[in-house]
Amino acid sequence: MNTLSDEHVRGLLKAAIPPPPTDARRGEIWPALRRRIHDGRQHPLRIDYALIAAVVLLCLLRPSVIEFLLLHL
Amino acid sequence: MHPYLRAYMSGIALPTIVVPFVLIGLSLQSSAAHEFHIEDVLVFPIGLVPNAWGLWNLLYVWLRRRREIPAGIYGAALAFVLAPLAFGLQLALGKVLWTTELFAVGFPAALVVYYLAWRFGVARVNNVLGIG
Repeated sequence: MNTLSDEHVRGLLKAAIPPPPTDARRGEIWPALRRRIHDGRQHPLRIDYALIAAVVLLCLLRPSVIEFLLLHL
Repeated sequence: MHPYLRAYMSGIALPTIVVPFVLIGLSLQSSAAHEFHIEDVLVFPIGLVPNAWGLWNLLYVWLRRRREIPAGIYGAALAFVLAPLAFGLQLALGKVLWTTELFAVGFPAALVVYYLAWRFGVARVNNVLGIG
């Protein structure tokens, strides 16, 4: 009966199991995600700023609108 | 992950983030400031709104495979679905909080908030998750 040395078993395991991703490959995930976040960024138009200002003004003039927004929509 | 599951998760993210702030804001208000118990009216913003956003975004992702739809306009349209539901729930619970005057001012504000939230919030998360 053959006995396997530790070295031989280690070699067989290394051959059978695919290597884990290297640090370099793992590190590519975050730059890709960051790129996706930056690429998808929408730049606000003047009308968007005007709408934000209008809602803020409305909330200041009529505080009940804040409760309306928070509770129901 | 399945794109529709991602769409649902992307849709519920924003309202779910807002809910704790709603709770904090209402808890800090004195109970004399409003004529209802907080727990009576929280069922809508906590139980229904996030799910509605998730399902609405799922529908958005499905529709966008067929035609181009601006996210802001599509999101604002959700207010037309939720407003009757909110009013119906108020009627069902016997706690009608909306007056005609409040609705006339509040609903346009809600449309704007929904437009901006979908244009800059949900659409962005969709992009990050690769379904934009």
